[in-house]
Amino acid sequence: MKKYIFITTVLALLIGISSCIDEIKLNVDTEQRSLVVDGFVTDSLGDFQLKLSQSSVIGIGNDNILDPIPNATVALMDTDGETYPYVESIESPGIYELFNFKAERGKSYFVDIVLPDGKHYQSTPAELRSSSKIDNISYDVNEETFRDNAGELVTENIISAKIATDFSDAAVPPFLRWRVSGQYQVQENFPMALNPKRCYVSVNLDINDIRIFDATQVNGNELFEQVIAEAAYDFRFGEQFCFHVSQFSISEEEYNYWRNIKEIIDIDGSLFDPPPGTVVGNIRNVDDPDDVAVGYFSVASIFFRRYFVNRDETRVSVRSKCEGFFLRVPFACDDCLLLNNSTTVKPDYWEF
Amino acid sequence: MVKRIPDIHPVMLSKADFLKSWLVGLCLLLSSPILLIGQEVETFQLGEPTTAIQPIKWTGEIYSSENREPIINAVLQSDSGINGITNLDGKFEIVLTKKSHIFTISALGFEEKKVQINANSSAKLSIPLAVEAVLIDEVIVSGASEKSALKEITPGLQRLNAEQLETQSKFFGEIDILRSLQSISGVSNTGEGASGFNVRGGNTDQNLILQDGHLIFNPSHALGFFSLFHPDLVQYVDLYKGGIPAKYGGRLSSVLAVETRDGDKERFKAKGGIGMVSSRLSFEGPIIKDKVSFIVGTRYSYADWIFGLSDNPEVNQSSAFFNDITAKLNARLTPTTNLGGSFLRSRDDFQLGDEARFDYSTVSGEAYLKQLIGDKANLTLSVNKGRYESSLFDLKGNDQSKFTNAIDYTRGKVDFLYIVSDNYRLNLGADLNKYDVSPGKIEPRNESFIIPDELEVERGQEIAGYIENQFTINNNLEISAGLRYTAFSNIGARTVNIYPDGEIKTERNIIDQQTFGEGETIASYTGFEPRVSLRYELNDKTSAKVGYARTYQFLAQISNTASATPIDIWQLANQHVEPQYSDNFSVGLFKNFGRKNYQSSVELFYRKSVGILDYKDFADLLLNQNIETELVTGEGLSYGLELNLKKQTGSFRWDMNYTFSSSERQILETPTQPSVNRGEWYSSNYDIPHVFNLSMVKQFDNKTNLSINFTYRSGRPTTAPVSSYTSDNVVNVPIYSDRNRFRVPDFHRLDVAYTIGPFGKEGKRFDSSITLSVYNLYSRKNAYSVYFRQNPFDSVKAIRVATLGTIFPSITYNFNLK
Repeated sequence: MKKYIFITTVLALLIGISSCIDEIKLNVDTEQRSLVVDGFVTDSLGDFQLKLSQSSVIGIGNDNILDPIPNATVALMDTDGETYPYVESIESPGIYELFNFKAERGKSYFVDIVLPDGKHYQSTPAELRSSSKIDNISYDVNEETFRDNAGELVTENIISAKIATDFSDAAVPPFLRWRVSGQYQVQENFPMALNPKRCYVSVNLDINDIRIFDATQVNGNELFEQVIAEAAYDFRFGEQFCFHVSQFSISEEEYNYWRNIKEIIDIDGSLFDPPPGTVVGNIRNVDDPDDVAVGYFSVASIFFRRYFVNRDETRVSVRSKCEGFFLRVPFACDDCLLLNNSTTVKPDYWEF
Repeated sequence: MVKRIPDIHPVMLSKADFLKSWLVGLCLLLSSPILLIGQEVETFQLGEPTTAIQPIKWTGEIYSSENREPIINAVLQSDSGINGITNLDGKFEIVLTKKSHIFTISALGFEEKKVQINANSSAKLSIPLAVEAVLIDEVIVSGASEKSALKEITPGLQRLNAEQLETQSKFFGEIDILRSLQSISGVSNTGEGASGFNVRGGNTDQNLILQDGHLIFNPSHALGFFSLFHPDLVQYVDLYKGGIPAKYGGRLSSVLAVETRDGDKERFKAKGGIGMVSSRLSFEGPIIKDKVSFIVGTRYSYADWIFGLSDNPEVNQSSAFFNDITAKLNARLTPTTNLGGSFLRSRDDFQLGDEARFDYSTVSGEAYLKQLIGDKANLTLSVNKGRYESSLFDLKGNDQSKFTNAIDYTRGKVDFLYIVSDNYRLNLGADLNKYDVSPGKIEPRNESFIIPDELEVERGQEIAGYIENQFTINNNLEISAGLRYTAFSNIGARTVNIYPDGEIKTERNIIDQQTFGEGETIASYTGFEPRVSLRYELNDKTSAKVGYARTYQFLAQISNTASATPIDIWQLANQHVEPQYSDNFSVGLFKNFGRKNYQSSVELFYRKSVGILDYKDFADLLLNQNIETELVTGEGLSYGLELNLKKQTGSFRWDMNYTFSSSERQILETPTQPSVNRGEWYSSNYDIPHVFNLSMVKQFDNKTNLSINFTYRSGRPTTAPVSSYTSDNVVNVPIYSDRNRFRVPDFHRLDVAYTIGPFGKEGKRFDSSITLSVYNLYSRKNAYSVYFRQNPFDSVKAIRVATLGTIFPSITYNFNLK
C-alpha cells in the first residue's frame, strides 16, 4: 500500500512539473451527513473522551465547526460483560467522558452508543495489544524546499524527530501509530522588564500528519531513523523544546483505517490517483448494517516518552522569540501568556 | 507481347502532390508534357493487334510506384462493368472484350488512377500507382479513397488517411498516431498526459494494439504525449471500433492495427526531423536490389533542458526521456514468397529529483512468411516474441527499492486467404498466444527495510481458430460472416487461494491453498465469437452497414486509477477472475453528396460487456498475493451516436465530428462481493457524453499550409466529497459521494500548425520543411483532474490540476532524402 501511495506521489509530481493548479467551483449539490465517533482508550490509567457529532456539509461555512450530538447514552464494554459508562460533559455538549480507566491486556473492548433518536451503534470489539517500547529518540535538521499551500516554493529548516526501536521480543510484529506534540519555552524580554516571566507553550505538531508503521512489512525486527514528526525549525527551538511522543500499538484494522485516511488526504490531483472512497471505521448501527458511522474508536496500548532539544545543539542556530534588540516589542514578549496554550507553571519534567 | 509503359514514376504526380505545391507542379507541367496525360487518362495497348476473335485476358500486377511493392486488394473497375481485384501478391486477371476500356484503379493508400486499355490480345500489363500524396513528409499512411467509406464492409472501421493526420495537432512539431486517433469520433482519452485511448467508452486495456505482428501492451511514450509508432514508418492505420473481423480477437472494444512500410528495394532514402524535445530519423534501402530491403526508424528525446529551466530543485534534477527503434527486413525470395522480420524496442525513463525513477520498455521481435499459392490464395505465417517490463525505483530513504513487473508473450499466427471467386473470399486461420505474467517483484536497494518479495509467475495460453466468409451477393449487397473460437487456459506451476463458496473473498477468508504443477491447468474457458457485417449500397453515393461482434478478453490490466499507469499489471483470467466478453452492435449510414463531394456518416453503437472489473475502495493492487480480494465484477453498457462530416478535396479541407455517448457500469452485491454505488448503474471513468472535433487544413499556393484543430469534450466523471469530519488529529476527512457521481470541467483546446516547405528544388533528392506549431492557443487550463484539498483550518476546496495549462509553441525542422 505504501508503495502505491509512493507511486501516486511520484506520478503526481511528474505531472506537477509543468502543471498549474487553481481553485475551481464544483457543484456538489447533495447533503449527506453521517454520525462521527472520535475517541480512544489506552492501557494508561486516566480520563478518556469520546466525541459524537454530525459530519459537516461541504461548502457551507467553515467545515470545522462540527455539530455535536448531545444526550446520547455512551458506554465502554468489554467482552467479559463489564460496562464502564461515559458521562456527558456539562460545558461541552457532545463530549462524553470516562474517568479513571485503564484498559487491560488480553481483554477486548468496544463502545456502545445509543443516540437520542434511538439509533444504536457499536464499535467492533478490539483486543488490547501489548505495547512496544521506544529505545531511542533523535533528530536532525535539514534545509528543505517544498511547495506551500499557495503553490509557492519555500525553503525552510525542518527538524525531524526520529525514533529507533527493537521489537524482537514482541510476540507478533506490531502495528504502530505515533502522535507527537511539542512544548517550548519563551522568556519574556522587553525594555524595562522588571520581572520577566517565562512561559511554557504547547503546540500541535501533527495536525493532518498521520504517522503509522506496519512492522510485518519490514526486514528484521529493528526500526531505526523512523521519522515520527516534522516541524519548522524556528524560534520555538531558540531556548528549549520538548517533544511529547506517544507510541500506540494498534490493531491491524485500525492501522488500515489510518492508512486509508492518509491515502485520501494525500490525494493531489494526479490522474493516477486511485478513486477516492469513504473510509469506513469500526462503528456500525447494530440494527442496520448499511448504516455505518465514520470515525474510529481505538483501543490501544501506549508508550510515552519526552525528548528535549536544547538550543545550540544543532549546527543551525535560531533565535528565540524575544531575543535581541527591537524597536517594537514583538507580540507576547511582554506577556507570554497571550500565546495560545501557554502557561507560566513550569512542568515538573522540564529540564532547564 | 507485352508493351510495358515507360517507367515514369518519378514524375507521376498525384492530385495531392499538386496541392503540395502549385508552383512545382506548374514547373513540371511545363517541362514534362507526359505528365498531363499521366494525370488524366493514360492509354495502354494491351497485346499486339490481331484479327483473332477470342476473349482477351489481361493479367498483370498493380504495384507501388514508390517502392515497387505489390498492392493488395487494388480494385479495377471499368466503365463497362468489368471488375477485378488484386490478390495478395498484387496480381489480377480480367477478361475483356476487344475494344477500349476505361479502368479506374483504386487501392487504399494510393492515388486513384484512370487508364484506358485498348485491348488487342491477351497479354500481361502491370500498372503502378502513386502513393497517396501526403502534404507533409513525416507520415505516409494509406487513406481511404473518396468511396472507401461507402465500400468498406466493416462498420466502425476507421482508416486514418494522410489528410486526416495532416490536420492533427503537432504537439512538439510531430504528428503522433495516438494523438491523432483521438480526433476520430468515438475515440477519446481521460485527459492531457493520460496514456492510452478509449474507444466507444471502453477501457484502455480493451484495445488490441498491433504494429505489424507485434503485440503492444503500452503504446505510450512520455505519459501519452507521444507514442511508440514511428511516424515515418507508418504505412496505414486501421482502427476497428465496432465490427471486428474474425481474424482479430482477445480484446473487447477495438483493434488498432498499424502497418509499417517495407524498405525501398531500389534506392537508399532517409527522412528525419529535429525538434525541441525529440528528434527522429529513418532510413531505408535495398540490401539486394529488387529482392531484399531494410527500413529502420528511430527516435530519441532530450527533454532534460526543459526541466533545467525550472528553479524548483525537485524539477531541475528530474529527467524524462524516451527512445525507440523499429527495424524491418523484407526479402522477396521468389515472386511468390516473401520472408521478413522486424524488431521493435521502445524505452521510457523518468527520474524525479533524486527520489524516484520510473522505467518501462517494450522489446519485441517478429518473423513472417507470406506464400502465394497459385494466384488466388495466400498463406501468412508469423511468430512474435516480446516482453513489456516496467520498474519503479525508490531512490531515497529507508525504503529504497526496485519494483518490477513484466509480461512475456509468444504469439504464432497462421492466416489463409482464398479468393474463391470475385464474389466470395474465404479467410481462415489460427492464433496461439502464450503469456507469462510476472505480477511483481520488489528488491531492496542499499540499506533498506524492504523485504525482497516476488509474486509467482502466472501463465496463460490462448488458442483461437477463425473462419470468415465474405460474399458479394450482388452489386448492392455484401456480407461478411465469421466465427472465432477461443480456448484459454491458466496453467501452472502456481499456488492458488481457496475461499469458501459463496463468501466474500478477503485475505482472512482464505481457507486453503492448492498447488498446481508445471503445465497443469488451473482454470480454462472457451468461447465462440460470431462476427457479422453487412453492407448495402442504396445508390452509388449512399450505403448502409450493420455489424455485430462478440469479443472475449482473457487478460485485463489491473488499474483502479482514472488512467492506466505504465506499472499496472496485466491479470490473466484464472479460477477467481473470469474472462470478460462483450456484444458489440453497430449500424451506420454513409452518404457522399454535393459537387464538392462532402462525405457524411451517421453511426450508432451499442456494447454490452460482462465481467468488467472494478475495484473495492482503497484497493491495494501492487504486490498483492491475493489480488482477487480487491476486485469486483459486473456489467458494462455503452452506446452512442457518431456524426461525421468532411470535405477531403481541394486546397481547403476539413473534417468535423460529434459523438454523443454513454458508458456505464453496474456492480451488484453478491455473496462473494460488495456492490458499488448500491448496485445502481454509474458512469465509468470513460463516460464522456459530448465530444466535438474540428480539423481544417488550408493549403496556400506559396508552399505553406496552415492547419487548425479544435476539440471539445465533456468533463470526465469524478468522485467528490459531500461532507467532512474530524478524526483524532485529522481534520476535514472527506466523505465522498457515490463513485463517479460528478464531473470535472469540460475540456477544450485549439491548436494551430504552420508548415513552410518543402524547400529545395523538385526533382532533387533532398528537401526540407519547417513546422511551427502552437498547442493550446488560447491557453485553456484544462482540468487534468480535480482533487479536494483539506486544509486543517479551512473548508474543503476543489482544486483543478492542468497538465499543460498554458500555450505551448514549438518548432521542428524536417528533412527528406528521397
